Amino acid sequence: MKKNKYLLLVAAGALALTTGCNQDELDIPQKGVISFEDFYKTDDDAESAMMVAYATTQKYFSHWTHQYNYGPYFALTNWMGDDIWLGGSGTDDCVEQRQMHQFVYGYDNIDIEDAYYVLYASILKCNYVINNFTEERLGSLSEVQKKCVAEARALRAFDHMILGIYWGTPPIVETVLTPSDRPANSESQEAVMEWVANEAQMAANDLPWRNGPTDYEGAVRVTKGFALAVKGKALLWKRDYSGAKAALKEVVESGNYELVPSEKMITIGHADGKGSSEAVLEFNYDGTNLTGDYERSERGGWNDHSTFTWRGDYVNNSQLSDSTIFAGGWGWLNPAGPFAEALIENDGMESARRKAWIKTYDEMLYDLKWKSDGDNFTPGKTADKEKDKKRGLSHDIYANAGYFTYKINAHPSQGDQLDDSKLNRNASIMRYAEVLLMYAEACAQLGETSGDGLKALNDIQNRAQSKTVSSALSLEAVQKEKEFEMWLEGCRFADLVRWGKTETLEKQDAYLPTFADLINGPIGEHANGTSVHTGVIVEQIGNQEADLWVQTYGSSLGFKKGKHELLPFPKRAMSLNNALKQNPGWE
Amino acid sequence: MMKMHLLWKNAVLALSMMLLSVGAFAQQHEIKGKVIDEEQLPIPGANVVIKGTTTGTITAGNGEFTMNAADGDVLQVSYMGYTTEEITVNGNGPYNVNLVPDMVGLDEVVVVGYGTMKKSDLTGSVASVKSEDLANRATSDAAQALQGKAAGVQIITSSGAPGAGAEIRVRGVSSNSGSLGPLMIVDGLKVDNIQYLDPEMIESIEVLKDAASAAIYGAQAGNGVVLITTKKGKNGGNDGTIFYNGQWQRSSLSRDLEVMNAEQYIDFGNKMGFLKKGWEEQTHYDGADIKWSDEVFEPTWSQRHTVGFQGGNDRGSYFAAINNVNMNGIFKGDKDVYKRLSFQVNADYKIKKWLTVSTNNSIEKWRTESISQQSDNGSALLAAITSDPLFGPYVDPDKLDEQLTGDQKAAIESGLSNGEEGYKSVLGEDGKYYRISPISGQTQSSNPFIQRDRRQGYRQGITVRGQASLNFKPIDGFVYTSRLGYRLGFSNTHNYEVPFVANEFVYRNDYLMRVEASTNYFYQWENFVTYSKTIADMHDVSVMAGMSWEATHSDNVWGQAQGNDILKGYDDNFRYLDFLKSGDDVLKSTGGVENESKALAYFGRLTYSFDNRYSLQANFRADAFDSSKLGKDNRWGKFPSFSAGWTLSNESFIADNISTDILSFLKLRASWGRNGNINVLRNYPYAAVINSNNDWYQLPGKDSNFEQHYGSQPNGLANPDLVWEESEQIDLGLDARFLNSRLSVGIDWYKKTTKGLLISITPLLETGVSSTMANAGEVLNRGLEIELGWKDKVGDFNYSINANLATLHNELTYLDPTVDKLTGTGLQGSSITTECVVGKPLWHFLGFKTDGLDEEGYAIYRDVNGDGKFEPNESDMTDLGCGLPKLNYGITINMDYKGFDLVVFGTGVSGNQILPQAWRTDRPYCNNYSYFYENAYDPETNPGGKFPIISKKGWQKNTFSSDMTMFSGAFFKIKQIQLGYSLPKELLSKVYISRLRVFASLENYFTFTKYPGLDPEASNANVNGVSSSLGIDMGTYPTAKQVIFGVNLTF
Repeated sequence: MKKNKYLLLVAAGALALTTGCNQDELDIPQKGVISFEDFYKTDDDAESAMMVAYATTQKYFSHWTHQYNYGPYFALTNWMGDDIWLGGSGTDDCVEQRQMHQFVYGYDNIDIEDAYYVLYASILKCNYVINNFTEERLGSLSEVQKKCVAEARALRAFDHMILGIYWGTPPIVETVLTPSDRPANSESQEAVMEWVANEAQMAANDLPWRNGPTDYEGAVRVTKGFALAVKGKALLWKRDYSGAKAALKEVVESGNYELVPSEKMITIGHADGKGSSEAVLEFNYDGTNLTGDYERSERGGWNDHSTFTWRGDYVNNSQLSDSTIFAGGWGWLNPAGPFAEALIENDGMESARRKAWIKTYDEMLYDLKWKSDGDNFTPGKTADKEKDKKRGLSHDIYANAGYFTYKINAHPSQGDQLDDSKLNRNASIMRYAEVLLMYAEACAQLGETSGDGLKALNDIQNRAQSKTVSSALSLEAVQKEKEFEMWLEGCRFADLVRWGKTETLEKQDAYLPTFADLINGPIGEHANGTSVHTGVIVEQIGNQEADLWVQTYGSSLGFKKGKHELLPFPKRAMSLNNALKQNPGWE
Repeated sequence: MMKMHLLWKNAVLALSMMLLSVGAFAQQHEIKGKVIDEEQLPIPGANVVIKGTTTGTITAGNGEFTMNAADGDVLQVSYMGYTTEEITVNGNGPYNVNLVPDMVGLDEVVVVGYGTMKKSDLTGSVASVKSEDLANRATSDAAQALQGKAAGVQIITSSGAPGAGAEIRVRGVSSNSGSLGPLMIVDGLKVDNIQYLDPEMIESIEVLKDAASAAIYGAQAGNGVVLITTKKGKNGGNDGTIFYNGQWQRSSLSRDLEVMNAEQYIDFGNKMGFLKKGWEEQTHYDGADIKWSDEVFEPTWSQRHTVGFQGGNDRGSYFAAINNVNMNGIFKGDKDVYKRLSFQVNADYKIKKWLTVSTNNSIEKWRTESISQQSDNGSALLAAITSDPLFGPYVDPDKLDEQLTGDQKAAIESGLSNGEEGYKSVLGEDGKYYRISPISGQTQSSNPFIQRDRRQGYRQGITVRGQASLNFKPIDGFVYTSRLGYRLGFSNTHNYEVPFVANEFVYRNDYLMRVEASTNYFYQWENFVTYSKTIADMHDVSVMAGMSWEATHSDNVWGQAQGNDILKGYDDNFRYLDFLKSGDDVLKSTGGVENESKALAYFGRLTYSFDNRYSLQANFRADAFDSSKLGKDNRWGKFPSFSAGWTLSNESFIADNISTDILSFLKLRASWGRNGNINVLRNYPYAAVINSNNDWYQLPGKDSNFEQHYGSQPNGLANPDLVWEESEQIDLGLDARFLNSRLSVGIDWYKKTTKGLLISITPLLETGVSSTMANAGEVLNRGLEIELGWKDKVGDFNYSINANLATLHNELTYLDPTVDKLTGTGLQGSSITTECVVGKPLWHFLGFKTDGLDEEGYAIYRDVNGDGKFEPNESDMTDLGCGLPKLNYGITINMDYKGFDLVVFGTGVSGNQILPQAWRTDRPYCNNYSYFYENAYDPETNPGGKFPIISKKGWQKNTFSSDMTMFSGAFFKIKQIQLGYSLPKELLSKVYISRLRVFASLENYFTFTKYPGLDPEASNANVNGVSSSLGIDMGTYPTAKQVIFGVNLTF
């Protein structure tokens, strides 16, 4: 009896000990990962690491999760321009974004922080490639590995260039940082641009050219042409015009790029124009067979699309049946009135460029197909259409002078957008037209009035079917042309600052009209029984929204010289990195 | 020497015989009696002793006793956990002795980790709540029932929705993570929640508050430990009992939703400029004044029933009960329901004198459906607040053209690519369309019913929890326990969304169906030995040592389909993955992973007490965790604790000088211990690994220009030094009872310092990594806890008052220099964020301070940064208080008189702030709490108004980012007023009922608060379980008030 008891006790104790000692049981392998040591070795690994750099840059540029409402790269490079107005649902919409446009942002503006961060996120992924595929680590590099490193190097140079343009003296980050690192500012904007140019050249040495104007892969990944374009752009900012000219000349003369013909201008920025002969670098995306909110937002640039696309509840989009326009967005982005007028003045109404870039209200009303048109639709104004209340605006539109964005919003007929979640859009980073215009500028800056520079400028003008074709090269002509050609492609604000032509920015949003159609009228005041569509600028509604911002901000509204040339380093960057020195006017 | 010894022995023998024979001189005769408890149930095993002697007996299974005594003898009847009663013998009896539970009894046994202790021996701070305090409450959640019952234990109700579990916080908040709740152990089994456990099943809840008491649970005990003991069968001799407890609850909105009415709203709209001349005609406004709370909330009936059996004898006992809960929330419709069927069976049996087996098991079947709340991007609850009062929920079928919005018309006209089903959800009840207000409907709010109906989903599952243990007592004082605990869980989640259009924010273009299945199991095996011995009557020594092994395993799969036409049919019975259409248009995705985690621990305890005066205790635990939490080198953690107690009242200088009628008991306690919080670590947070093929980019391939090329990358910044959060806590306590134990006082002061706070820090923006985890902070929690009890009786009237109060000082005392602050929850349309900075409480609100209004009625912002500028900017933002209360208190009053009993229970908090986030400057058309409207300055109608003038400039973002929109979250709620009546026994015995009590109760009926929102208690926008949104009310599901009718029946 007693024996049994002790036996039991011993058995249980032994059992307890066995489990206790088996500490190996605590080693549970992590799922879906491989160890650091086993990666960054082969050619496949190099390609794999480079895919991450592309994917991150593509996704973060068009979507970063702090805010739902915009793509940081587009925001950074376009929202401060004088060629757009921010409308949305009215004065209470797109608040942080409008702050940028009006230069009343603080250094905590989330758009600014996001843009800063996503550029460094892209740099990190490039550094994974550049830092791990080194001869010190692997002995020697294969051709594939060298090419991947060069792609990463060029992309990293581009990121730094954008940082340099907008922040002046960003820290140059060449290695994967640890949390205890404190990278300091670059010496000067000039130094950044010099570094970028050198890096871009180094990359170009190991990169292949795009394989001719029809090569698709060469349009959607980094090539020698892109690296040299980056070098040229950086040197333009460095005001090394001959250096810029030389780099850009290589691209122009390579024969790997061609402007698309006039009739194809309508495809620029759209699915039908993917990987066109003009593409120097664009991020590749077709979402037809993909799903999920993140896919559409991250890669398809859904936020930007919603920003550009006509405001669904103001434009009577439920009645719109035209396959060339996808309605139902937030309508944040309207062409600035003076820009639209200048474009028409310069190009003429019939230019291919004007038609591809903007629509007038009459075109919206009569040349787009509305449901009430039935099957027998022909473009053009008719008496029936003029009286048809079911077309056109159903609501007045803030910050609009009667012109509507057409260049960049989704055209279902071109396959841009199948439905709200399926986007099909390549985000353009560098287009050949920009290379030509930069080349023309470099020549003009060097005092040339004819030759290659003029040819480059004329190529752009002729292709646009502009009624203005320059007979001599001049800086003014290039500047004007670039304003029109590169509209909404991230050049305007940076160019104005570089050229010192900031007068329009200083008055930004001092006046913002509201556009209404008298047939429907804005609520109450303008429904005066007009029986035909009449689009008008209504300057005073309620509490004088036309100059609301002057009332609100007084003299702090608009660009201030000596301060707004550069963005402030974001508040979070400043608070986390004590080695960082704030830009002038923001200390 | 030998002779001497014998002599002594004989002398002692003779002396004791003389003493014993004293009683024999009186006339002894046989007496009979029965000992019963407060529920009239027999108490077997009670001691019946003639006072001043060792003569006595023990009651039998039916509570009866027989012994010899003389008239005039005083019988002392005692039983552990009950007060001792004395009766004077006069005749043969029978004597019925009624023992009542000793609520502050020192002989009361409390459960501690891996054992039990007499309350009088405790050296740590342990709060104990007994079943009486939990019985007959409206809640079906054990955690909720704990509210207000123990000092220093805060219950946070994030939502009043049916089936929403409450969270427990022990002694403040000491982690930045979502893992703030205590370790919960039910009958020795570690559980992930106690929501499954009906309060009816619980015998007692012990909260180990101080680190010394909790240290036996080591790395898991940093947030305190809650030990729950379920009911055990009572030894009723040969007779068991059957009981039934039933409740019928009528729930309704507990406070009025005070938002602007139509008149106020129209005035507001005019002043804000969004209602312009002619708006009535434009919008076809018909003069309605919609009270949305009447539209949205409705009284509902819920039921709860428990039927059980219990009994026991000298060898064993059993308790079995089945509990059925069926709750329907007060949001209109049956979309917020909680159903639970649970079965508890507990049994133990003494197989041999030296071997006892026992098992406790619970089987739970549950199902919940819930509606959306707490989102500033729109939810059903937020919509109930922000919908304007001008337009009702439904479109008048005769006025479709006027009342449908353009978006709705378009949706109806176009249908969906696959027909009518598509836009069903814009249809309301009786085929009427839901109306979208042309004003506020164009926001994230749209219509509360659309928010309710936009998705249909439910979660359901079965969980089996239990333990089986073996107690082996080979020799006296030595117990070896082997215990196997287990949990088996199976759950499924179904979500189904249909296309619909309300407005630009609230719409869905395609169908989405997602089904998730999860199976998981957990087991723990614990072996421990306890040896207790009393040496020379003075030295009580007890040693416990053991080990524990636990393993968790989960295996989940999910499948999802999305598209314009995904199902073979759209009736309810088609909404399963089996009926998905095939083809490219149906985008299907699947996923799933298997996970496991394991832990090993050794632990031990040494207790020593001397002469019931001095006690010492030491605990030690060594924990090791698997590689998913910690790297191999950091795997082990060591957690010691020490505590001591000094019972002054047993010292002769007190016992001899102060009568127990004045000072009955006095004890001082002190403890120190170290605990950890391991729950913050999961999913290999320390490891630097490559996430394989986790991203892709499209490049030209064989068939298209868009083939996905996958890429791999590091998973972030590695931190191999990562460890758990570690707390050290000092506790000083005092327990005293006065006036013959009628007054009891317990006071504890503690200081808890948590180091290595695990924080998701933003590394430098230039790293390109948005966040990384680091042990980077230190938090202090400090407080004073007071428990007071008074208990007395006047004739047949018994009453008791118990009150508790706890203060909390919470402060971030250190933050890694790389992080200047932690930014918490930010809000859309407001600049207020929550943040953590050194020297302030965790997650206080950061916003503008105001100093009243200027002459024009605009807010004057305090120039905090001293730049002399009127317009506030970021650096003018300052601390506006914190969602964490500084004071928690509760009071319970029990009374009974001749069958009637009354319980009044109230609880409250103060020192916290709440931010109601409904109206936003970027959606000015939304309705808002009428507080703002009514207090707005107006030169004519309200010149004394405290809130800015209604205008775009007056009601701007800065105003709604200031202290003007913050409110004190202090409240006192009378949670329960329950009146019961127990029918007389004589009456019941005729129908073989031993007890019948009927009661009516008012729950959550009275709330005292200045907060204008629906419920100050449930105002925790618990975004992803993170504590940073405590105190933010983004449209919360309010706790309902209830009228309960109930019955307690025992056979």
